[in-house]
Amino acid sequence: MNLNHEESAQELDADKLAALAETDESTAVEPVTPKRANSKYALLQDGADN
Amino acid sequence: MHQPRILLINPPIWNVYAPHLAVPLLAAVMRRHGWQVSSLDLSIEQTDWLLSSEGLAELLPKAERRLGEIPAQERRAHEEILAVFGDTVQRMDAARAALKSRDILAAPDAFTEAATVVRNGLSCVSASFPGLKFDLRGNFSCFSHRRSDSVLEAAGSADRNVYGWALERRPIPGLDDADLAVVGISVSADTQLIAALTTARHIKLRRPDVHVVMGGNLTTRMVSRWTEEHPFFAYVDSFVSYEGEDALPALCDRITGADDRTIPGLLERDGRGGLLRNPAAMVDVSDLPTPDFDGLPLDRYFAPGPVLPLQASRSCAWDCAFCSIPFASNKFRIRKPEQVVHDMATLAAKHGSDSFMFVDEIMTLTSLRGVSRELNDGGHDLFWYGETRFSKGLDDELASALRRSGCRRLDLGLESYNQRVLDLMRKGTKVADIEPSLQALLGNKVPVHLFCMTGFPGETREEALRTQEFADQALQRSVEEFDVPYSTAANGPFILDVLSPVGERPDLFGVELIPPGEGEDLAFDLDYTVAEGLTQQDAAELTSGGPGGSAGAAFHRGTWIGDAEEWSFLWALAESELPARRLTAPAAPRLLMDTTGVVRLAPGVQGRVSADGTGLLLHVPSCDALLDVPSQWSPLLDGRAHGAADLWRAFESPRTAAATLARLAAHGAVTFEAGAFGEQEHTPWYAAQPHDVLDARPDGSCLLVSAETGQRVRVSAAGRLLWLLTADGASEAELADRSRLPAAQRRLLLENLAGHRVIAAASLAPGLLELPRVAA
Repeated sequence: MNLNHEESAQELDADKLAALAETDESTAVEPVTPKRANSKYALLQDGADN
Repeated sequence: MHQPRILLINPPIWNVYAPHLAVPLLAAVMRRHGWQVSSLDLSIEQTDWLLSSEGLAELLPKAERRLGEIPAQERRAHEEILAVFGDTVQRMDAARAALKSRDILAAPDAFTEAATVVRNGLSCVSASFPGLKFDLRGNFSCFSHRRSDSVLEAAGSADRNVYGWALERRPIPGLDDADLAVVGISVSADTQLIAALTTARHIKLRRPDVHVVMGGNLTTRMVSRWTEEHPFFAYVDSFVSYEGEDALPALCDRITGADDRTIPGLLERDGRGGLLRNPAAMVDVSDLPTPDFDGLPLDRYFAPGPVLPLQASRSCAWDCAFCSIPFASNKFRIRKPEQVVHDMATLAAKHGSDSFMFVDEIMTLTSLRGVSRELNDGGHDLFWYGETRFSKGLDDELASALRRSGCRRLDLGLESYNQRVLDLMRKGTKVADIEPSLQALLGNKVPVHLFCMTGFPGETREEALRTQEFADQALQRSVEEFDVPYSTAANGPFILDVLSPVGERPDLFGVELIPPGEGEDLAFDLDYTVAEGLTQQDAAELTSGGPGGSAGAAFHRGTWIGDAEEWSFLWALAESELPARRLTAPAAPRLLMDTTGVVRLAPGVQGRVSADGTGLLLHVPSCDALLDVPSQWSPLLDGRAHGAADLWRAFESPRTAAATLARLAAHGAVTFEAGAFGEQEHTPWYAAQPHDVLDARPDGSCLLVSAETGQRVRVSAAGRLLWLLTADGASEAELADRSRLPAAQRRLLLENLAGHRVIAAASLAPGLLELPRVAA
């Protein structure tokens, strides 16, 4: 099972993240809804979906 | 005396939320002409069947077989869809029925559930054919609509072509009728071309004596290129360019020998490898009868209408540089407003529908004023929407009249919020007129839809972002300032249409066209380079929907039918609460487990062991999650209760087992009984749910995207830290020690992370983390 933690650790390990978190007082977890990518012009494309 | 019959067909794929207007327009003309008419919307008939429990059940063995035929790198995505297939077959008919009932407008949760099942069904159809992306918009496949040879190859394939496969199982009815003399196929968009030729072949094989004629917007574009006999004549006897209302009766009269007058826009073979082409003529739109929807399955479209299409005008009065509508639609003409409202009242009385969509390329102020006046003066209780453009005349007085006349949505071709770009586009809009029009509409409770275009040749990144920001703010103001939650916006990339002014004279716009690929004789949009400004690739990136768009199991990436304009209109009409895009599953009970506890799969959860035997895919319908867990959990597939101690024996690490069980329980994938477990003995335990890290920023914040549910959340450094520290499971004490976050912040964050299923929270008996040794 790949939890993708290895990839994120390469970018920021727990120590570095903990240092950044020391000044972070947030408790927010904000859901993000993707923007609509469709348009009236989309029919002419083999376009990627969102 | 027997009258001959004509069969009029709208092939897939066209809008599945409402009928296409072409067939009803021609049906009305041909009935007035004295012919028997059969109307067939093959687009909705096929789509509705493919997305039925019956259709999907027939596809399932085909999708299963494909698993052994596809490349290794595609198998995972295929297996994800197979894991959801059985559940989708079971639930699809109820979902379809729900979406077609007006009750759904007052039931947002029911909509979300039904739309989720339909979205998964689209993936199931896709998985049954090579290269197919069945998305109700393009349905792109392993065949190319840009190449005549590929279109013809598709027409002969019932195995790889979804339309051919469906026609074999559900043939076109009535082809054995001796009265049938002509079949007309209307092809408006390139998305219909493969199905159109497949249908023409299907008919010709059964009735070679019947005359097959093809018309429509795409047909007009297509045949304008032909200089000699084309291979499509193998299945099509003639083609009609531009409008069909005058041409079709004339063609039918010639076929029956009743008359031999000139048939406007007709293209035929000359018998020597060449073509005979008649000039087109313009139809008098004031002379047309009310469109005739008889024979169309108005209860089968994927929105609770029917929302009936009408025209208040034809073609477009403007000449925007990016658009080719004037090329294929003749000159602009307006139908008299009193005729338009008569059409509406007639159809409302006949079909019991109160909702209409004007499919005009653009409704002018003259049409908007005239139609709203007639509706208001006549005291009609009807609802409608249409498309127009920003202009000085779209003021408070008109907006008020529109609202009173039942207008519940106006689509506006904003394109850009920069005067320089609008001028480059030859749009004819003044930026100064946009804000007053917007305020007038929203102030009168008329929701808007903003069409934005990114990457018109010469546009800069700053200009594109300014338009996006304006659209974003307009939607926010619609909700917060005007209490109109139904406004929407869409941002599409500039598409270079070869028949548009830019395509005709690219040099005037700093554009160089890239020739189409080898054999792409039907390519009407081309790649291009620009002398300055955003490139084609820039435009694609800026309109891709933001970071993280591709995450999630394969079936999570399908079309969300709530994005259809018909749904936005109907929700506005009913003043509905807007539904969520994702299922909000009821909070699962917090896992309580000890060494004597038992677990079993929750009702409705279905699973399959991956073909390589390394994992187990579990689909949880209540939250539409696809969980990938180690194959050691496969004993659960028998549906019986299993002791935690027995399950633990298969694992080397008790923490891995505990973390997975916590994750399963948090998604409601399992139910459990905790044995003799006491609350006082518990250890609070947290385990991360799998997520991808995207859009990571220097302050440590990032977007966490769940591959299991497709959900995306933004967390700050502290939230991301706690998620990271729970990778292999962690107790509260361990998190306190390793995170160094203040206790209050840590507890609140853990609660919020668990609430959004970013992590799983559980209460475990201490012995459970030692179990393999204990059990041994």
